[in-house]
Amino acid sequence: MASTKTLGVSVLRKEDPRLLRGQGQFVDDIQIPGTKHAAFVRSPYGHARIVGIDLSAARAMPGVLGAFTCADLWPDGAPELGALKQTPGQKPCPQLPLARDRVRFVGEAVAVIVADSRALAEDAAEMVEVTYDALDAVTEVHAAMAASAPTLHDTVPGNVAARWTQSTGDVEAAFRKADRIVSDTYRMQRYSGIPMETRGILVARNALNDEMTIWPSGQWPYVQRDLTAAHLGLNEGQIHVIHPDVGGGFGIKLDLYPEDLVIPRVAQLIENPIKWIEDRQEHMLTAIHSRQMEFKTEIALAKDGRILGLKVQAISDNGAYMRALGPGNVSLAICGLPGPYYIPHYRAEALCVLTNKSPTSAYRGAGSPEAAFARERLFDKAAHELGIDPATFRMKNLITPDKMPYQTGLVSLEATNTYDSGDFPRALREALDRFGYDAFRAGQAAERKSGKLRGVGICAYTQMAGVTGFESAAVSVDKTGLVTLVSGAAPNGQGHVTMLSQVVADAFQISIEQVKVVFSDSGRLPTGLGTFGSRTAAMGGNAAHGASIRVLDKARRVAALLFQAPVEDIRWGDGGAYVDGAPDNRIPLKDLATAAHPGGTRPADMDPGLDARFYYETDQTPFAYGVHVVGVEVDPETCAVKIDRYVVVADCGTIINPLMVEGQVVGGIAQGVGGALLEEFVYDDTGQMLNASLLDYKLPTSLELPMIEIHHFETPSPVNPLGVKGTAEGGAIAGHAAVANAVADAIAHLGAEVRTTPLTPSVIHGLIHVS
Amino acid sequence: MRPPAFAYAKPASLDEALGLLAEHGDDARILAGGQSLVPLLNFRVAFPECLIDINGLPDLSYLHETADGGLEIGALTRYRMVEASAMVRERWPLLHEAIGEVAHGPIRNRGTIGGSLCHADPGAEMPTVLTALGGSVHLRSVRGQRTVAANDFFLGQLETSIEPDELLVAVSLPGWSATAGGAWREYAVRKGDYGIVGAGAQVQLDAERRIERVGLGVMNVGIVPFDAAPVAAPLLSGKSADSAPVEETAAAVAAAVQPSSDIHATADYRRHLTAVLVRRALNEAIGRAQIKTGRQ
Amino acid sequence: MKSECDITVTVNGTRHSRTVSARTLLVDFIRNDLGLTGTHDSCDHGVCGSCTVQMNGEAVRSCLTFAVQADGAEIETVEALSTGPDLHPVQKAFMQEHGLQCGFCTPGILVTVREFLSRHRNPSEDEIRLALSGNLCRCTGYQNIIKAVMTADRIWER
Repeated sequence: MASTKTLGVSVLRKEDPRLLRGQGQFVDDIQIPGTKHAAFVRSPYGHARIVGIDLSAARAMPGVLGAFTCADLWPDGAPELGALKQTPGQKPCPQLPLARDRVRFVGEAVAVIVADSRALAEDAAEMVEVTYDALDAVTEVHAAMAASAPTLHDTVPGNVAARWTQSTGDVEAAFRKADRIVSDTYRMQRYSGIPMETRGILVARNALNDEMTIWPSGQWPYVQRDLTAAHLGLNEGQIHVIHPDVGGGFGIKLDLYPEDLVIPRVAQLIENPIKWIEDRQEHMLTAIHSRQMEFKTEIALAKDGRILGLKVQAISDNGAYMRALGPGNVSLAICGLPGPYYIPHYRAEALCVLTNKSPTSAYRGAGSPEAAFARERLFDKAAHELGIDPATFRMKNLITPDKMPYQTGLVSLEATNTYDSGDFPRALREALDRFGYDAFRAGQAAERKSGKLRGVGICAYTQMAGVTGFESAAVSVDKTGLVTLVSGAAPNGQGHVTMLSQVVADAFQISIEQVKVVFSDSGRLPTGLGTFGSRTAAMGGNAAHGASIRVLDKARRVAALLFQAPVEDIRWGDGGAYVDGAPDNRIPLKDLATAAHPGGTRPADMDPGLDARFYYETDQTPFAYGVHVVGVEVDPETCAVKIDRYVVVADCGTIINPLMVEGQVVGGIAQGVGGALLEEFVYDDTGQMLNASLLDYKLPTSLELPMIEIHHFETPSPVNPLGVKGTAEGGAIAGHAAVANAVADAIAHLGAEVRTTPLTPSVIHGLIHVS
Repeated sequence: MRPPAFAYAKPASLDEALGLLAEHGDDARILAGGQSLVPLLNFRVAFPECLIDINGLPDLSYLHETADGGLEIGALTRYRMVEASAMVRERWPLLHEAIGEVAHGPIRNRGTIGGSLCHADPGAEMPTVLTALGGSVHLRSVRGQRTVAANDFFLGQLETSIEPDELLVAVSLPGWSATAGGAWREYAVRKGDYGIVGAGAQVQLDAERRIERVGLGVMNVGIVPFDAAPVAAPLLSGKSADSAPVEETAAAVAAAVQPSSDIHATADYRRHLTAVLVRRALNEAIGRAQIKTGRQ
Repeated sequence: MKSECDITVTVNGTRHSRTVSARTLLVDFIRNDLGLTGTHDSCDHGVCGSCTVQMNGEAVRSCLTFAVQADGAEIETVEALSTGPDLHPVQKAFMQEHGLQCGFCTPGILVTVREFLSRHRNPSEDEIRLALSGNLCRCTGYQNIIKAVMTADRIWER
């Protein structure tokens, strides 16, 4: 029998049959008898003092079990939801689970109602009388930094919650040597992941074990357990977090939200299971936003097109509070800004500014889409001013393979930016060739003369491809031969059951049907981290691989005993052990598991059980990279943008499942295209959001997105055993910048300059018209 | 969110429905397709005490040509039924094409012509279609029946001249010659959204192929549909179909509209689109009229 | 006028008689009263398509329909596509082409696609894109959904 090849194969997803049959188990699908439903009273003001909250009418409504303010739930002082990591000079500005004295953005929770049904809870919420004393709101970063601005937090005078600088080389010296200096300011708008499943949490007390079981729609079950325990004064072992199916995350479910504390706290006071499912309007108003960042950029150039140095100031609009990962985006942005380019002299200043809007945090790419947009726009401008083709300009400045591993010298809150492997110039050449870049450029002048507005945009990017720290895995083989992996990862749609089944099946040389994968259950594994930052292949994958190797080692030792052969002579193949030279006499996994069972036959110095727990710990992040080349056509009359052609060349190291990798790349691009062309949370000056629905906030539909051509390099990463690099974020990182550059190129000859997004038809009309 | 509580009635006859309306008037809302009303309830921005569900009145669902070459559409007629009508596609392409821009299939399966007109969203197609074609609505109450022309029906954003006790029972489009041509052109950032601007043009030629009658409406450039016929007719009437001053007419209409800016588009862009879409709609309508006239 | 209504609805071939509040949405009736949780609610106002079901053979938004309006109607949800061991050809095609990731929007898309393909043969890519344009998906970028519809058209004998 040939050995079973499972790595690198587009096996179909094990998740799919039940999802396709409507048998998914998302949090709202879990229906425990006796469950009561929560609804929140939320601030209609962007900024106001709370004068009084009267819950009496609400408490008297039919079906209401309880109504609570912050003081009701935490009479002795409320827990504070603040940043988990600190930048130099960072000032605390945490959020309370329910606002107590002051509200700082529209939608901030003020009180919670629990009732027999969601409709009844909402009826009662309408009856809550909150008296507010409105305060001046500020919704824009420069206005927030002005001397006259209202102060959001007494702890943060001037509304700048963090400000720090990072640099490499001697940037001033580099600028002194420059033949030419080009500068501009680029702004990315506020947008977010908007998973189709909103947030939600179900909490039930379990008297049997004196535990509280929490089913959240989340991305980091163990962190949620630990933070919930800490904030509620419980032991970690008193909380059991289980993830149901999660209907999309994209970073948006990677937070400890106010509701994540309020609902468990209410469950301590009311016997029944308590469920809260976020509605879409709440999601738009209160689920974390992202991306809103302004970059003042200045680049020093030699006249042959080489980059000598780069200076950046990045101002992040952090909204009203610094939440769990609040400073992370701009930290990642300034460290990721140089991207795949050789920029030895670099200085960046980061600012986190507070405004009366929803707090911001990490969303697919976390800082890198923002940075790539600023960088790639600036590079187009630099190339134009030097009279060099933008592709040539990039080729001159990409880091070459001989410099690998390449240390950028930049360390963010999440990683040390050292590029482990790859050939960036080859990726650019390949992408340009496949696109037919030279032919496109050759025809562009004639097209412009005929009135056609066609443009091409390029973005080369690097992607931190596996946020480090650790990930856990426990692998066990039962007496029937089923291999169960319990992983610390926490998938939210990627297909990790299948991906990790492939990793484990490859190690044991069994079929993926013989592998069962369980995630996100703190009752089955002491700790883990979760799924975010494209980490599950690199971290969860190597953890699963490591645990499998350890189990295989035990299996070999058991086999050696059964065969009465030296362990060095034991070979493994096709799901069983044999003695070198006698592959037909094989002991299958189930027999080895039976032998290793307590009371069975095993080496005296071996622990019983074919099982192992393994923590994959590393501080080395693999970096994926790639190049996107996009062709667009702008309708000169309606100013509508049509994406004609989209070519991707990407390298995410060793590929476990090509079909799913493509799915991640395309899905990321869809979100990048949304950011480039459509999506933005719009607030007025008082902090009211003007488009808090999926009608007015425009996600891309099937009509806006092109078919995407993807080509892969597979340079195995040297920093992990599987050689993998994550792949989920590259599309979102490069998609936004590449599409924006393509639109900019299509209208550049009309004198229009693109410095911000989204490039809606109305905006493009304005750009063309003004110029 | 979930809808606030309301009482519900499903009358079995028109008289019963009108009786309920007379009784509950201001506190009641008519539930037809529900595709505009239910979102208002789900977001708790409307709090009617009762809903009168007219889906038990199948007599209000019909589509027929009138003796003078016009079209009458029952208020409960769903978009899907009009869209699927070969007669409408052939005789009323303006209406057919406009319905193709209404939201998406599942919404058109439920949404009704009458419901859209009563909702009177300036971004919705049907009010402007009615305006462009010079149509009117028939309103019934226990007090009697009256017919109101499109221009008198739409008063403002989500505001019409219907009285609380009245039910819109049917829509009439006046007769146009069989050779009239029509077209609807709309631009929305995402197809199916409320359009940023839409334009409907209806043109009738005389035997010498001169323009003898023009209907023209522009959608979403104000709080009510913009009736552009008074601007367009003087410029186009009597002109040969081959050399009609379409460009100038479109410019004149664009100069006459008073759009405002919102989060989706600037007023300037709306004005610009008005010129583009009026031109496209007129050209197509004239072209179709020429073809039809040529067939005769 | 009444605020509680007795209704009888046939869902996936089974008749159910229940008393519902007039304000109960069809999506909540299907999910909470009948326990058929394959139909999802995402946007609350008919834009995203996650809650799409068939009512008397037509795709409708169950978040814009009251349960009382379904009195006497035949409803089919995603759960009706396949009840035996084999997936429906449309489901098979979605699996084969990786036309889903998180799977939350998928039930509404499957119902929409089944209705579309039952009326169209050999549709073009543009026709497929138009048919899907009322269903939002945040994971896939639609590319593999479109391929799945093409594959379903090919393998579904209808």
